[in-house]
Amino acid sequence: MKLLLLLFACAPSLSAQTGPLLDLSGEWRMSADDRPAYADPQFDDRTWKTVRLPWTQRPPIGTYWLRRGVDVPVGFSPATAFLTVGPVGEAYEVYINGERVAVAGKFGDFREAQLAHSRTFPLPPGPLPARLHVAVHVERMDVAQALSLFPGGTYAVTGSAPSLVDENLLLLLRQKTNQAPNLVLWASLLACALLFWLLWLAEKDRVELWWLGLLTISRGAIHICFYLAISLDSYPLPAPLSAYFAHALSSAALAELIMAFANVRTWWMHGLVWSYWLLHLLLRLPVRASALFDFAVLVLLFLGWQRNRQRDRLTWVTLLLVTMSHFNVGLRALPTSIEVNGYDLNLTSSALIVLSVLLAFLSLRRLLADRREKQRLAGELEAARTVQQLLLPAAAAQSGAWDLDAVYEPAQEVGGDFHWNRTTPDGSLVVVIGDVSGKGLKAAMLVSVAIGALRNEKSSSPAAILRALNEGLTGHTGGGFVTCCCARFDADGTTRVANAGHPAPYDDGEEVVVESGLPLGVVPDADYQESPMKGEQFVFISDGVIESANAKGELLGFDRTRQMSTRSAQEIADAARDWGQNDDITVVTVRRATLPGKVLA
Amino acid sequence: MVTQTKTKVDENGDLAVLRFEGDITSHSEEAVLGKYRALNAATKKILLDFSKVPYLNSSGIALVIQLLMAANKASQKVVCFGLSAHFVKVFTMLGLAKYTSLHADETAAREAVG
Repeated sequence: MKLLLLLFACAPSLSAQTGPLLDLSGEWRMSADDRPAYADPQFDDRTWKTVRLPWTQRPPIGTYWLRRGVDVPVGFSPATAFLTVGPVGEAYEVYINGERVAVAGKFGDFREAQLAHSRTFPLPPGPLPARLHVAVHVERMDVAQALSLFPGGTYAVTGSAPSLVDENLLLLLRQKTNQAPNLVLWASLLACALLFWLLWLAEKDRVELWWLGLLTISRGAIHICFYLAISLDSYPLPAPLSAYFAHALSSAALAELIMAFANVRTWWMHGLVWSYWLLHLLLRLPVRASALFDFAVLVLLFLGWQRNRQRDRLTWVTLLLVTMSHFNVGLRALPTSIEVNGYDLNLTSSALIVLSVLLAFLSLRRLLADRREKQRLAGELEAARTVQQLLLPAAAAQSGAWDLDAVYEPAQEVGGDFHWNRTTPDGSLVVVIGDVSGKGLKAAMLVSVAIGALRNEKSSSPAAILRALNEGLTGHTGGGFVTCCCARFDADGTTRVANAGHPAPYDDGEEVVVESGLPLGVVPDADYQESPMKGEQFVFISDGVIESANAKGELLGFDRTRQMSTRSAQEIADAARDWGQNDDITVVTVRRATLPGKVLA
Repeated sequence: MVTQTKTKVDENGDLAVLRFEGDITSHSEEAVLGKYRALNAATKKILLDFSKVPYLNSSGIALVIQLLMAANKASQKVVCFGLSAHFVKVFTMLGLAKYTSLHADETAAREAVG
């Protein structure tokens, strides 16, 4: 009601402002044919249908002619006459007695479509003839509903340029009102874009969410372009042109979205898509180029669907709707909007809203399902960690002449390092430390296999233990390997060590020279040799100690590890972790029980 | 931060040089084994260039070991060069001396391969 009152208050009174007036409103002849001969004042238009201007309802899309003859009253002879034309179409040209006197917009190019104002053009100087044959060649484009509110406007020849400010303000107000549903669409699309980008931040591997955000926000930008055009006096670009760029952006985003859905990651296709958009931006490609690209996107959608049919069918159908409505924007085969209760509703954006709501629902459902799956996996990892801790021996052991301390700090929930020890019937201590290449559950499973094999191993010879382990692991490492070091500490102080690609142990602060064989699990018949050790305090480490890396990427390295190899197991592990843990850390120390104190050195 | 491995292959008669660039990790299978498998069947001598490899993790070393084993099976001679002192020690520690030799630079490696 408030709006109606406002409209009534703003109703213009042209005659009061302009003096003498030759009113052109009323009955006109109209033909949907398009022939230059219709500009001829002699042309007989009596068979044409009759319409009334100003339009009382929206005229059809397409090109047509309007004609009217009017007698100039005696005494109507202004020095300069002006022709005022209402919002007849997005592009038009006016002929008076066969001479073209006015042009607005550009035929065949909706990017230059005009705001739906009444416009005034000066007529050629000189006295007006006794009768005016007015012919208007009109192109009514289906592009910018915001710019094309047809009912209303002035059609007249006047003696001085009339002020049309009030009338055009009225038209703008009505246009803004008419845009209300599209503003709601814009706000919804903006909200959807934010939602999709937030979802993408939560799941960055789902790149389709990013493209969906770009698609929705670029569609929203189209509505913003039109709204700014009817709100600002000095809009930098013609609204349809800037909307055209936004449409090109949304077409590119749609192509990327389809590629993401279909799991197409070919670099040249990405290059093609963004080259197209850049060309649009730089060269203002013809309208048909947009239709051609949108057709290519339609083909891409079909191929994508062929490639990835297992994706949700409803999503593909909705994507098809969005793609077809995109294609139609350039093709203009069907209306791009429908009228709902007197308001224009953009069909492409509406289809996109449906797609957005659907995908938002599916994304949220998937996010929740993924969360549940992650919780389940976390539970399983926790169970695996518990099992692994049960499999590994105690952190401290004592075997007559030797004391053992061990620290094990996995980099993840479960680790690929292991250590194991056993006291033989004759009082010797057998110690094993190993490292499975790789991390996570796969490595942890191999650790379980290795520990299981060690538990069943009867030999107490380091080389024999490694050979047996290698036999058991070969063919089961999935392309990986296991480094392992095995040592035997006899009650009389004799020590022997065999190594399968593992970092050599430290003996009283010096690296033990030990012949190293291939890691376990690489070749079936690998051989390992035993070497004697002479010291009384030994440190065994995994490569997670040596390869701890600080923020600069600097490794802890062999030298620093050797220098701190006389410390306790816990101190060495702490130092490596503080340097920058990026792998499992295992430290095992073995010392003669007769040495004083618990801490080495 | 782990970088993606790139491999440039120079082939000349029965000699091929695989020039690795970037960290070698579990993601480097194509860059290591894929490039090795794609070598000319006539290749008898292979040089592995690690001069632009800042880091190999255990999974990456596993790939190199697989390459060495496959080359050994195919009676191809493999020579490595450009490894940092740290990884020279790691390769030595892994007992790979039976399957490859380690050299400071390409000139020494080419001399070693004959």
